[in-house]
Amino acid sequence: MIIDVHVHTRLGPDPYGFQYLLEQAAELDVTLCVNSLSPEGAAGMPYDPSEEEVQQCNDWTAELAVANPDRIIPMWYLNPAHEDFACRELEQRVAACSGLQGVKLWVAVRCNDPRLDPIMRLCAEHKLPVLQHTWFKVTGNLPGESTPMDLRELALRHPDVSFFWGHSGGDYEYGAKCARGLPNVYMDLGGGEAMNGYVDLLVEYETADHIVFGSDAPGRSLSSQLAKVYGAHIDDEEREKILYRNAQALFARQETTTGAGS
Amino acid sequence: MIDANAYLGNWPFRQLRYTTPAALLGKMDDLGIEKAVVSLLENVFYKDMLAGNRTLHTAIKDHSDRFLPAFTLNPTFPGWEEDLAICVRDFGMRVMRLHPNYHGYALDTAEGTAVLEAAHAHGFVVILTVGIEDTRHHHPLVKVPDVPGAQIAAAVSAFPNLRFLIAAEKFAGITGIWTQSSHTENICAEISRVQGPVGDIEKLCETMGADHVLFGTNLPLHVPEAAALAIEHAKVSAADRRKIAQGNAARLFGL
Repeated sequence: MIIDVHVHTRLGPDPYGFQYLLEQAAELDVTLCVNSLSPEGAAGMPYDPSEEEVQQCNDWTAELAVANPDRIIPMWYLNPAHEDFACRELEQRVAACSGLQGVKLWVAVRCNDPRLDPIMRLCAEHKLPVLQHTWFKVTGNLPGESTPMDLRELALRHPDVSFFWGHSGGDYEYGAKCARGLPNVYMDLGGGEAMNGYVDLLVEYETADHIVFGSDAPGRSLSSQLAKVYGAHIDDEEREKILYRNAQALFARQETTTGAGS
Repeated sequence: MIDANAYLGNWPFRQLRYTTPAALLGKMDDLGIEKAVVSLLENVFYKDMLAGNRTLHTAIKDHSDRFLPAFTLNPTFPGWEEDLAICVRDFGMRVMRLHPNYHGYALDTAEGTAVLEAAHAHGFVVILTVGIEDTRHHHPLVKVPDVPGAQIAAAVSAFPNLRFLIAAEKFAGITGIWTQSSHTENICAEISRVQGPVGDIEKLCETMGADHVLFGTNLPLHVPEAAALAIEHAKVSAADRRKIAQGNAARLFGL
């Protein structure tokens, strides 16, 4: 069993192979935590999506989750710049979804922005893990793109929320140092190249209890991202924690309080 | 399997495993890699590459059944022609690796053209190394963009009888080079940095033909399991899987 906390899909044509990914996930027994950042007709992923675009993305994610209840966990996409609307959108999605679920935040605003706080309070209330994109790029970040230090601020401000630390900070050496000592963060392995020593370093600074498997598929292959785990010098127990046990335990908190996933 | 793209030695920016012949051989044994084409990683930054090529020769001379050396040249540095001759005459090397981006020249300059002409005259295989690792993670004082695909496409088109291995290039870069090149029979690509999208190996085979796709790890910079799992998971025929894992490299390098 594997839980992949970082998977994308998009509306309309399927140039990135989501159907291929679903088939491979079935073969490898991977549960996919899916978010959509790409509304229909958009050239790519809008950095600052409108309310309608967010709803369209989440409608598509909900549709996929309903069609694949044993394979997909929806991760609701929100734009914190929408403030009240973002909270209403999340409350409506949670009310309508009987299964496990989480939240995905990307680059609309940097994640240390106070506009995230009402959303985080809802996430704490519903025990929704938050996949927050982070990257520290020596080549320069996107506007609104959170750095690992931004997420550290947010995680300290909301100790009752569990965060999937997107891409482990991109530059995982930088991200690992920023996440050190935070009990409510889980380094997401998804995206980037399968560097030699990646997981070993995260285990050293965060321990295997605070790492979760993510792929960033379909842009990245499952093979390359799984290789980060299988190529690490860790024992079987640590490998199982990373591949599914840590994420499973986080989502299980929802089951104990809401009956979700039954 | 045959690993078409690996290194021995150290990288200045982080600690790595599998940098020595013994450690690399151990990892190769774990994954069923019989042979690896290796260069010296320090030669990305050395000025006197002959010293590095000599170090490589000494390090692997007792393992000639497992390692095929690829010497590194920088055609902007004085005396490269004599260094080339020494690598061939004294070390018996016959595969040339180039790093145009780290060594500061373009393939279509006088220096680039001269080194490719020399390779052609000797009948070498040329490993064109596109990058080393993700440019977004480079050291802030050593930001080195990957070699532009258009430059590589022009070079392989200008030397249709010279055999090229495109190394450490990503999926989109490889397919871009392939479609931009007027000659493609002389192009192979290895898959160490082909780490997506899903179905990447199948799509490469559809674009280039399985005869042009080679297993490569970029050890010790990347985990070799990435390329190994990519081949294992790819929905290709058993015959094509064997070609990618071993047959194409055996043919290209005469192993």
